[in-house]
Amino acid sequence: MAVCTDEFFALAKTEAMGWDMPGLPLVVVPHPLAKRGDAECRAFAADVLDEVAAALTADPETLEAKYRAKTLQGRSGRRYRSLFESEFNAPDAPPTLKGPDSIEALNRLFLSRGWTDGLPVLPPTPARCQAMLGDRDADEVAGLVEPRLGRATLGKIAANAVMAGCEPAHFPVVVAAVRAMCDPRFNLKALQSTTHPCTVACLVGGPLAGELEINASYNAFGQGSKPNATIGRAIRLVLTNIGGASPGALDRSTMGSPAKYALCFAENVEASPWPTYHEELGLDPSASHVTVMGVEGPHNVNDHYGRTGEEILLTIAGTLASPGANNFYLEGQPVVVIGPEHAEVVAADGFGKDDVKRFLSEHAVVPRAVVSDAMIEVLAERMPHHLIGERGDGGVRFVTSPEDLIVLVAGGAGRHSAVLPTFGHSTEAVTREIG
Amino acid sequence: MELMNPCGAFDVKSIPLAPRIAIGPDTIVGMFANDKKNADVLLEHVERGLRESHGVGRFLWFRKEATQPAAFTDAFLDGCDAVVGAVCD
Repeated sequence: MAVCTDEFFALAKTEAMGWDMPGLPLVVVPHPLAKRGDAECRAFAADVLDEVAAALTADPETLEAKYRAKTLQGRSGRRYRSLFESEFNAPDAPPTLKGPDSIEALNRLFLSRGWTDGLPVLPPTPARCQAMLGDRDADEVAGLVEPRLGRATLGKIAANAVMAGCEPAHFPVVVAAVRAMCDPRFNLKALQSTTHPCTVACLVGGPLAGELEINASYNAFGQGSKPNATIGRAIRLVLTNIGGASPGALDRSTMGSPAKYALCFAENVEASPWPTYHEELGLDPSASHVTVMGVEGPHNVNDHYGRTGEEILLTIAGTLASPGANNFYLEGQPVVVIGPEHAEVVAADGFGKDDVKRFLSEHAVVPRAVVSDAMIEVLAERMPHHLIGERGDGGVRFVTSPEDLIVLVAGGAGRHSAVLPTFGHSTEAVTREIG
Repeated sequence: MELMNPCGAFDVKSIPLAPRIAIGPDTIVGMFANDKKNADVLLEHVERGLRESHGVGRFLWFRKEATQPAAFTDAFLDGCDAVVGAVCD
């Protein structure tokens, strides 16, 4: 049995269902627990003690019937019931449904069912989905998408790709991204259900990035490029409709992020003085690959005045070193995307990519003055090697090891770069060849 | 208009709950905290209540890191008659 807070009941229920135990006793205390003092925690425990004891001792069939039927409305007002009881998610759900003929009415219907990102979608008609699929097998399973372990068949992925506005040529990238994010190393369950505003960034590399015209230049993270927008959006719709991560219900992100609509880009290979990420991994350059990364939205690094590579890297390091980022106390693989004009200066001063990583790792230090005493206690227990000097008086390192950093080159002209903190060390960037 | 269903099939099986236990001085109850702030404090009070009001004799603790799947030890899994978990924030 488990004790959970009321706001996290839906997540706990989903977890129980994912483990094939829909009747697992879930005892509820008020949210949030983190801000409570000892007396309040004691009172909460006293309130549920008899229910806890009963859950350990009562007749299992009676318990199962009681807790299987238990639903709870979160305070956010988001509905949970459809997530568990929708006929559209059942194993024997009909492959098709009848929708209204008007695109406006269809979009209202889909929105009401939580099947969109809030923007209008293209109707996933059988003809469009078949065109997306081509001669692939609609029943082939690319993976089980956490947290609800929805079965991502190619047919389901195609329906979401159609809704997102993808062209059939984009489909292999979406499928490869789905396969990558279902890899256990990616830890999609945590990424989908965390309060952190992380999303799935999709880096496309190899010949296909050019053939599909994945934007790697001006506005690489922004609007205006169809493949970037629709591939990224298709991934989001898969995460929602197949993975079940509805905002406020199973997607528990406190703040969310505009990057959760779509985040797909490529490296600006022509403007990069260094090997690409996929070349660093030793992958076949004649093949195309997709890498998924569990990141926050990009944080800009403006440095118009740096005269040397070191000066520019210092600004990047300073931007990277954020005490509010998960990587600060959960390590992981922060992503640094260096703009071409910054990269040119840095490379001209003799920095290879490994030198960049070493420099950033060494200089990304959070000043002690902006780290709370409470956080210092956490770090002293978990990551004492990050504290410089007595209890971090000399600052706190942001990066554990240079090898942890992912350094890319993207963007257009202008003296800007970007950093993308990640969810932390429980997620790894995962790369798959695009088939 | 005919449309393809975009939702993933969610195959819910149902494993029956394990037989419940009779709690007493020889019972060992596992306490599983998810590392979120105060999950352990809440469980400590539940432990105290189970000990004082329901006569549970022994407890085993297991803490997992918040962002990681739990890697339970055999000592914990084999040592408990029942487990109370806390999923908090």
